[in-house]
Amino acid sequence: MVTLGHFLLLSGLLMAVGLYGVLTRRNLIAVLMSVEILLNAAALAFASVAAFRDPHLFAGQVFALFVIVVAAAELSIGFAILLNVYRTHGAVTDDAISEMRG
Amino acid sequence: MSLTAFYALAAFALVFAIFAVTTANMVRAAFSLAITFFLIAGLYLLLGSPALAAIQFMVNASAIPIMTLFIIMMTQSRSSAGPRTWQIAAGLLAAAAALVFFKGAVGHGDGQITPVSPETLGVNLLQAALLLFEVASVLLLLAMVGAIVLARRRAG
Amino acid sequence: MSYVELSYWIPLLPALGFVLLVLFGHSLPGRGSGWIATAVMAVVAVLSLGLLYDVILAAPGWDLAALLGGHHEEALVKAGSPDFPFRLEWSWLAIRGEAGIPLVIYIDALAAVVTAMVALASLFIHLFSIGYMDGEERYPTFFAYLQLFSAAMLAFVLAGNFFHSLLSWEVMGLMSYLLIGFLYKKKTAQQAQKKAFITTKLADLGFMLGLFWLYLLIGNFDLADLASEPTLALIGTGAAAAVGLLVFVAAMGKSAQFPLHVWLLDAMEGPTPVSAMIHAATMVAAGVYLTARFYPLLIHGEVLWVVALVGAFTALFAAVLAPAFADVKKILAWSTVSQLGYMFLGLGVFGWAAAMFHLVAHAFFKALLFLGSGSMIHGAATQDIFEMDQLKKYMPWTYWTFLIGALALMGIPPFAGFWSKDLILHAAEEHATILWLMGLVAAFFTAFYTTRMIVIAFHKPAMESPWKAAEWTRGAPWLNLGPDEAEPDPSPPEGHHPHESGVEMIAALVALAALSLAVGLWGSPVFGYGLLTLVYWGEMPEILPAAKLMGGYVTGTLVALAGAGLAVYWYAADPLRQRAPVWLTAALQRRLYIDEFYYRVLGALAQAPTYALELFDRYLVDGLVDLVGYLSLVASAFLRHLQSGRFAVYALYMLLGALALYVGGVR
Repeated sequence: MVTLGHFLLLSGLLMAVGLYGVLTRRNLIAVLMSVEILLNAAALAFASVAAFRDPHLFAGQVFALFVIVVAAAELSIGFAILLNVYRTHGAVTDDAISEMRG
Repeated sequence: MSLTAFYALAAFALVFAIFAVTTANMVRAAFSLAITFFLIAGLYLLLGSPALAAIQFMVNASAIPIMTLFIIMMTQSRSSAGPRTWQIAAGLLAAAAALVFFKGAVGHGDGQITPVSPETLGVNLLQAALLLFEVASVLLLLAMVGAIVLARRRAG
Repeated sequence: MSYVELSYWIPLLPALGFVLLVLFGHSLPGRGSGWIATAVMAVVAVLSLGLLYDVILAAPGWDLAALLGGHHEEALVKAGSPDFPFRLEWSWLAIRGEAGIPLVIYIDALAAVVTAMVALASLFIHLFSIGYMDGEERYPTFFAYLQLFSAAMLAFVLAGNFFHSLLSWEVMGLMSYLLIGFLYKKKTAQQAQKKAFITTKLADLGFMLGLFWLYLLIGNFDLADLASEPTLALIGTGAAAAVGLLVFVAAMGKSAQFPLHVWLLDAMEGPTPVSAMIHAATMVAAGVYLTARFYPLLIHGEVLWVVALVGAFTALFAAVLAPAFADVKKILAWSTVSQLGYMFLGLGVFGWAAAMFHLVAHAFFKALLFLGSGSMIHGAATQDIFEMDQLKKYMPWTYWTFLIGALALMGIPPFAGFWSKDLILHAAEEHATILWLMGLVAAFFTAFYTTRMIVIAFHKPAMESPWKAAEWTRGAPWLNLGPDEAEPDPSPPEGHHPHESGVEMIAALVALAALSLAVGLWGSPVFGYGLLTLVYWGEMPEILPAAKLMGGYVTGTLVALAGAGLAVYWYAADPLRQRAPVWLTAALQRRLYIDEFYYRVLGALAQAPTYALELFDRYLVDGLVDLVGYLSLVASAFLRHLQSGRFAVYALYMLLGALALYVGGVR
């Protein structure tokens, strides 16, 4: 039988993967993709708790919906910025934009 | 709920997620991402929320990856360099930390879920969560305008 | 209303005079401030003479025959009044019911006599200054200073509480500084005032340390209390010796005893009335007075021999140096140092009454001599005795009054110095022959330099001063001034004839001559030893019959006459002949290089710590500051690399931060 614990564990593993990606990826687009994984893991966690524990309001599922909305908005802006970075610096790698440094 | 279905979906979701974050080929990463999100939509179905699954499929599993592919094309970044050694160590550390966070999650109770029909979710959105709904609409509008403004070609 | 009850006006009136002159002095016409100041001193003189009269009435009376015969049991004829010695007391610094430091006026015979002496001397010096300082731009300021000084000196003499003695002592030191440097535009005056102030201030440390230590021992500053048996018993011999010597150091400074004599000669830079008032008659006597008041402590600590030795040595030292000088004021300054030495010698050989007698007599005849010199300087337009032109002929009044003072100084009977000085010498003879011999040799020299001064200044025509252009006195090395920094005083113009001084000045001279004669005779057998039966140490006066003293009288007079005779023999015939080798003259005129030694060596010693401190400041303190700056630069050079601008690094920082927060307890 699938329990809440299963879902939450999966969410945690996806989080781990997402975090690994944020810290590891050299291309900023890939970083944003990793962030996306993180967000989805969170939404999954919310939704599963709501399904298992919140029969009346299922607030977690509503919340998961909004997470998707926000993630979309954020990614579009992020990619727009990265486009600008590409235009001014010629690349979107993690060390392309390091002028503000000591 | 079927345990087999869960394990299948979960396992493949993880595999493709890991692939998405490790491969050097950006295009393959984008596609892996799409598949991962698709599988998560399946998980939403398992949770008895077809509405959520549909939205997940429409937005995260298709629109986002398409946008990602576009940006990969526009920034000519077909491949990404490999991580530096310390970054791998840092990443593993982060992953371990995340898992520690979630250790309390294991072994939670029974398997009763309450499915939600799309109709119920819709009514909820337009009644209880109306304000959130409207704000989210505005947010999307802003994001759309902002992205267009940021991304357009400058004159000259 | 008795004079005793009015006694607090004695120091108060001149203080008020000071305030008045400071505020309104410059608005007064002509010599107005001079007359006002003199009028104030006249009132003070009347009050102090009245006080003296009251004291004479209240003091115990003695039968002269019994005292002379040694029959001490029958000597007391009239018991002293029970209130005597008089004491007026006000609460001053009282904190929360404790007695604190009361304001006390203590009037015993010594205080009354010395008060009268100071008041009279001050009065006639004020009178003299009216004419002498005429034409001076800061005329009212001068009198204001004289008033405040007189107030301080009178307060010092009348003080019954040593704390107030200290305060008055310091005010006197300040006034001395201001008056020495009255003609401050002269470089030598500036140096001289600093020298005087610093030397005496350094010595004053002794007074303060001794006094505060005494307070720790006996718990109060009271003058009368110090003399009482039970209080003395509280103090051990060693402590008494230490306190006594500390206070004596201050007295040495104030009274210019060797080796702290250096400032008095240069104090002659001040106007002559100042030299008369402060540096001859009164302030320098304050050191002797203080030592006299601390007598019980000095006896208890068994250190009187130090006082005697210092006094005897100084008396001889100063008398030997005086003949090498041509400036009349400088000769008289050495004379003052020498005579003060005699007073300390007297105190040191248990001749307390003799020393006090000499103190009073000296005040008058030294003031007379200084004012006389002022008259000479005024009339002859020079301070150099060689440049003075037969002053006896042109300034007879000055001559005869000066001669009276000189005879008193030399100790020729029946003049004042004879009676007092020979008493001191007698006491010295009973105690230690070497001290007696030193006193005797000093007396010889005293007569010698005094006669030299009179012969050359009054009896000889003007001539070119032999040492004015000498290279060894170029500039003023004893004032730390180089050859270009001090000019010798100008000589009088060609064909200048001396003229007698104005009537105020002559009046003052005559009055002082009369007083010095009177005082001398008051303590002599001629008038029944009056002064000595009033002012004495211990239970009863100790009067020695003339027969016992006759040997001393004769010796002293012969020695003085011998000194005078030699001076006449040498200087009447050929005043300009150099009888000493040049190196000796040079050394004596440069005060045996002691002053220069102080400036160079002690100055360097005092400055040595400053070099060490400067190094400390430059390397340690500044170094620390620089180090802080350097460290922050180093730290920043290291730390700024943390801001690498690289995304991956920043992501790592975020992770680490989050972990740190988690470990730290934020959940």
